Amino acid sequence: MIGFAAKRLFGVAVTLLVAAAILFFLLDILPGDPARFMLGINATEDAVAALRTELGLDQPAFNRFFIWLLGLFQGDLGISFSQRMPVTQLMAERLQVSLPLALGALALSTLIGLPIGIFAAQHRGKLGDTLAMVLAQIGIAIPNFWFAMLLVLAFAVTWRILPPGGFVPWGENPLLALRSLVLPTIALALPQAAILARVMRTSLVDVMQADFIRSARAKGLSQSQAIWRHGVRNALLPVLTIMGLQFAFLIAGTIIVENVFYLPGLGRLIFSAISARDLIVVRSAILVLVAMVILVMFIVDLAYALVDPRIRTGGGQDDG
Amino acid sequence: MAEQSTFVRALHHPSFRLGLLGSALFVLLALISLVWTPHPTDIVDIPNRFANVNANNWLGTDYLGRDQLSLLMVGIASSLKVALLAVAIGALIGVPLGLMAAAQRGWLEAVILRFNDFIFAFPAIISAIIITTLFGPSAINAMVAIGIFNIPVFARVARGGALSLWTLEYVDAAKLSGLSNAQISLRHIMPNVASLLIVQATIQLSLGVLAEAGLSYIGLGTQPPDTSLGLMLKEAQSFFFGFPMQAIIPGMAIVLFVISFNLLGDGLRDTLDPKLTKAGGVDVAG
Amino acid sequence: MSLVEVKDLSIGFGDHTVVHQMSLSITPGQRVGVVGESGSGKSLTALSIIDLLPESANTTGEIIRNVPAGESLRGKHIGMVFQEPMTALNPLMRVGDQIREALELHLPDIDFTARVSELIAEVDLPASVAKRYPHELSGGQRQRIGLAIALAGEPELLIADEPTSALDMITQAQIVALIKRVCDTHNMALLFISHDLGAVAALCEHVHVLEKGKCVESGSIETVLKAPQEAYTQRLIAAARPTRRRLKTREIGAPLLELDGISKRFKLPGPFWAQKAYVQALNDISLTIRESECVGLVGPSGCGKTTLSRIIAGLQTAQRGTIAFDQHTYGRKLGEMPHAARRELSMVFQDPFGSFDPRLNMAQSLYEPLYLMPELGHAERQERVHMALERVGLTPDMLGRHPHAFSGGQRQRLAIARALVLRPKLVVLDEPVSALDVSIRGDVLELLADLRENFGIAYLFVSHDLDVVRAVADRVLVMDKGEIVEQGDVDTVFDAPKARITQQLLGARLGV
Repeated sequence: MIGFAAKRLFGVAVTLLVAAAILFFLLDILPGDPARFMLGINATEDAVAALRTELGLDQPAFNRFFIWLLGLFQGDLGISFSQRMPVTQLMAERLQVSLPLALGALALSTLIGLPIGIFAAQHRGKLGDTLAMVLAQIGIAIPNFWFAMLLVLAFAVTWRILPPGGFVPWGENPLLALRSLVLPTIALALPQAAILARVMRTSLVDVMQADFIRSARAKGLSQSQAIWRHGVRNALLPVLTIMGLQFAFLIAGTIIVENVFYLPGLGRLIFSAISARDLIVVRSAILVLVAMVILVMFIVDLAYALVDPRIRTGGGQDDG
Repeated sequence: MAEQSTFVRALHHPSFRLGLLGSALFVLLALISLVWTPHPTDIVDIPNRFANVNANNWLGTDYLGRDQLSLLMVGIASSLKVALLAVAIGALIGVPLGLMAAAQRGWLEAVILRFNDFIFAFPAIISAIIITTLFGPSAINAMVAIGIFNIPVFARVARGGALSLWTLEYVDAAKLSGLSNAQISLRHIMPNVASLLIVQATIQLSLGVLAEAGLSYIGLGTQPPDTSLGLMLKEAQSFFFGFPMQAIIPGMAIVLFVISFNLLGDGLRDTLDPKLTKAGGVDVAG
Repeated sequence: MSLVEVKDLSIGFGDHTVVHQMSLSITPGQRVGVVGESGSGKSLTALSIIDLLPESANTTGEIIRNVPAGESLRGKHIGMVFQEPMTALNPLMRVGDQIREALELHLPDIDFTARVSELIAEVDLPASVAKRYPHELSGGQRQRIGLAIALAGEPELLIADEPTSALDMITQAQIVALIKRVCDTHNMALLFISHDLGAVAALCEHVHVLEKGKCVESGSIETVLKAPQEAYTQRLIAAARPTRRRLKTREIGAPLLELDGISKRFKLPGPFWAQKAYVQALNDISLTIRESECVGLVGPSGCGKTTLSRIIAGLQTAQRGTIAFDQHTYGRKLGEMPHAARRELSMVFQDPFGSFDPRLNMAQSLYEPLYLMPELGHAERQERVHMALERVGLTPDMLGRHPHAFSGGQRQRLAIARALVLRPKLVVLDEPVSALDVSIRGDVLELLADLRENFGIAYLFVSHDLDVVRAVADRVLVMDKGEIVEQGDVDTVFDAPKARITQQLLGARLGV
């Protein structure tokens, strides 16, 4: 298990390094002169030269990459060119909104999706299954930001029980902060829950055909005992993989849904940075997003290995 | 031929029929919009803005007084175009990669797999942000960003299907007949994974429509004066509290559009893999 | 009073009836066999007795089980062992816990840990196995665990559904002996389902022969084997005792294929920083096959016979050694197998269903080997393909059809025809009849013998079935752990085996 984790951790490190290199190439080398790019064509030569010095652009690209990497480890991502604030501080503020949103949506979608999927598989072919899967079919097709708009219309405009947008910082009033995240979390979670429900159902239906379920029944277990004791755990394996991929979609969804609710999250930081051509912020913010996705995939791998002994001991014995 | 009989068998599948009907309708609307729309979409008619459903404007008008139905048709066409080309990008690059990985194994496969995992860490929106930062927002950028994410999806499906085929004895027979790995991939592997790829393509198509909507909504995709379903939602947001229909109509269009393609894909998949239905599974739900 | 009494049982799905009017009874301690080919409905009969038929099945007739009312039938009164040892156990649960689960259900008052150890010991496994996961065990070990689970509830009847079909010969004989022993110690009745008449004969007192869902013959095993009444039973018995075939008019000729010092090892997967581990699949193999000769290649599973036959066929390459075939020499230092050599050699595979691309019609598949002979014109190609079909007793009008339109036996004939298109001097036969129903094996073996007689083709006949090898081969090579441990005239080797593995293999035969 430790060997497995070490191997994967090495993979994570390599992936992150490559991602950083690609981002650096795309956002620092490709634009030619980043200082000129950031200031626009109308900037004076003096201003451009000043910015070049400030950003350390007179150094060779390789050195700059190295300094950036070193900064990443020290938590120093440079000073935002447009906001004149340390990027680390900017991101920390924004992550207080985005991270709880993404994680909350992940938790909520799991809590809703998996039980529905298990229920549908157990009642396969019956009315409950059909109903659940029709709902899931619709849920998958709904764009989360549009769903968010509908939620605002219902809960904030018509019934006025939740705020339509904006965010009260956690430090000011944690309860209000939580309240302002309720609708965004639901908007993000429900479409994901629909996907999870379908994957869970398909996986469990597959597992229910497996020989070992029949063995368990022959042992004397009832159908539902066999499903709960042997089926669900096996069926969770493919679901775990999907959940890992889904986190990437949740991150994407967070960026979009923040827009509906005017939440000061990472997404809005990135957009303002794009319009200000603030490469410093864009580069680091994207790396943080990618790192989060890679990290979650790593956690999913570990969880997979915890559940499945075949992974952690590596390969089966070959009889052929 | 096997291809045809699959299609004919799929026609007996209720969700496939429903999906086919819906998809055909949307594709038809998109095609018609290329030559004709009920009203021109580039003429602003402010006095007539936010009109309700009426005999002249069947779905009302938008904030510039343009006909919603006409906009919807054009929007469907541009969303479909982005999603289709994104699928094409993913399939054209991903499928050969997947087939090569399965045929060659060894280091090439390892490199392709690493590449796949790597791309999976870049959701379309992140690619779109990078591309937009460099080149500014446009529909083509959205298409490329979605297409990049489609590459590992197709590579994975092609490789998975191909791997199980490479162990079969008819592939050994082909090797004995002196066929090269590339010839075997084209003659024996590709036709046998084609059905899997078609199913995946319909799924990626519907995901592409959703992704396009998301990207255009946050301003990274289609730009005015063009329109797309996502852009219509973006424009509707400012007037949403007063005129909710502005957002509800394009939103509903997206939902129906995506459901149609999903049902089509589900129906095809069930027909190709009869395991589930044979054991008494339900059709509509898939 | 019988434990189980089945009367006029019919099982169907929709309009399709699979089992017709089956009747059988099992008395306490009695061992009953049901023998039949794939699709004969024998497994469904077994599942109906333990009440595990799929929901979509509809049944008529009666099954009387002598079980006290209100008690659990499955596990407590009837235990069951399944065919697939690879998939019959939950892969995520330690095998000891899987045995324990059965104990908890049926004998809640005992000391589980102690009883689990006893059961594991009873199926001849070391106690440490309890902590293992299924993937860490071999097929035979898993099947023993399956048996331990079935024994946990101390049932009066054990149903074994093809429990040995997926195992190699030696393991199969061990499992059959084990089942016999536990039935004796517990005075447990047995319902043994198998396609293998030999295994049924070794275990059972009474046998039912099923053909296409109908019971065509039943009686005591001695009577049925000695004086089979029905044509079908006679065919089954004949197939289990294959006819001996030797060259009649033709002589074995000069050496055709010579292997010298062939070695191959595989790298085991592991992290790249670790010391590389290897398995030696083939170690310094040298052998000769002569023109028109049929050489048998036998050995336990994993002995390297598949790798060796694939190297000879040119599907894999060796890391050391040289091959001289016809006028060509090739090998690690001499370069790849030349195309000209490939034309002289072909192969027939085990699985007649995997042998043909389902999307190509037979013409496309049968013309494929002619890729090697681009110089041939259209007429010559057509002549070769039609001739090959004729030789296997088929007609060219079948060429337009796809593989699914043919039965297993026809496909194997077509596979042989494809091998003949090149008019090869050597054909590698990889278990050519193992996947066929026993009743058609004889026909395919006869066809192969005729082709050798008429065209002087040499065969390398790879098989796990010693009786078949003895019937068709002139010479036999016995492999174990990547080496040829014994070789010689097939009668000499089989009558007086010297190597231990040959003795074990011969001892594991379950003849009729």
